[in-house]
Amino acid sequence: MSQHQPKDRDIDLMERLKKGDQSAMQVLYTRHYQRIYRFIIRQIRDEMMAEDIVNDVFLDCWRQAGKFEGRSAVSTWLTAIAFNKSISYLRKRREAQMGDGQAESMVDEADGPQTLLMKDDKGDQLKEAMDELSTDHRAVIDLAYYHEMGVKEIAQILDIPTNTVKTRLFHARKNLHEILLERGIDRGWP
Amino acid sequence: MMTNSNSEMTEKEATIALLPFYLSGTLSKEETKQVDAWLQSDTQAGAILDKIDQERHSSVIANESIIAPKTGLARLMADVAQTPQENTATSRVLSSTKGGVMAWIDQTILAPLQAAPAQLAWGVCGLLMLVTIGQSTLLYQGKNPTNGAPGFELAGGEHANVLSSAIIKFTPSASMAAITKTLDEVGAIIMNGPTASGQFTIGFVARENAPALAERLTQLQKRTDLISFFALQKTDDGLE
Repeated sequence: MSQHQPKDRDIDLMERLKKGDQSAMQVLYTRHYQRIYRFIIRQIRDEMMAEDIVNDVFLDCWRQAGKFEGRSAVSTWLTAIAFNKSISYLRKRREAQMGDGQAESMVDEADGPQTLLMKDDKGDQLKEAMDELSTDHRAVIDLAYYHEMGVKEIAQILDIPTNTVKTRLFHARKNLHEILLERGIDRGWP
Repeated sequence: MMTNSNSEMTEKEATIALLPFYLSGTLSKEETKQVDAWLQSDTQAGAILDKIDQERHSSVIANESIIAPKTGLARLMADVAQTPQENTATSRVLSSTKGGVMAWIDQTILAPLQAAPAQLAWGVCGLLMLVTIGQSTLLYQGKNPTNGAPGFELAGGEHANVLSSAIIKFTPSASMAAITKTLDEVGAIIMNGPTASGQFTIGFVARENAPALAERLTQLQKRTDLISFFALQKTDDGLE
């Protein structure tokens, strides 16, 4: 995806944002909200919360526009904010559930809204297997495959070294293979 | 079942780890050469690349099936109006010459001028429609049996005659005329798009039986000069 985005225009928008131009915020939101929403909901699997986090991401963008130095693409910056907020939310949710002694009733990721959408296409075991990946693995899979981000961009978003991006994606694919094997589907490895 | 992500990889595994980025064209020249060389030397390479492409299709379809609610902008702008910025000039340009709707049009119409020809054409059409009528969808009629000449109509999101849909990306060199002609020939219509990544959702209107539809899909997939990405999204005829 990244190579198709009008990054220079995004940077122009950021310059306008720094001057307090709210209409620039509208354009930036319209351009990126769908992609950011999808990224967030794939991580947290909670539609209501995803809307809140999307709002927070763009509000942070507005609030902190002055700190944006253009060292990464605006889309990468927004996705990094989205990832951090998603991880933070997941951590809090986990802690709250553990604190309430609800470890046994933790949210079953397989029953999240994303999976419910998938149920329309039960035959596609690969999509469902992707849903069973850990949050870290699902994030790197989506960033590489759907968002078409390069190694450096993913490293910036996930805040990990570039070599770790490659190994993480490799092992995410390996886990995908193992999940499918458990379902009786052998696509072969690698 | 979890695998230690810090374990050492062999040289072959390190090359395979690059394949997803090879498909998206985000590798450096050196890494691309490394993958090219491996693809030519390893007899398994084609099959592995094909598997990764299947995974890519699944990720695209899973993500595209998620539709964000359209109510977020009003909420955000209400919050923005009440939220001060950090470390920036205090002046607010709320309705300067570059503000308001004109600025929005300026950015959204001009921005696609940086894009590839196909994206440009469809993008500008889509944006003009958006400005004019809000959230309607641009729909190319093609040779819909219920319509005569090719042209455009606005649809409110209902596509009753659509039999199957697919996610598609056009090549940068594809002209609008060639896209229009090809979609017309296979009886396909654009239902939605372009997304930020240049993807469109196209629908195949109910015109013939399942085998004929399969032939139309094959016909379209062969047009690699026009189409850089094709993933069947849903079908009522079990053609997946």
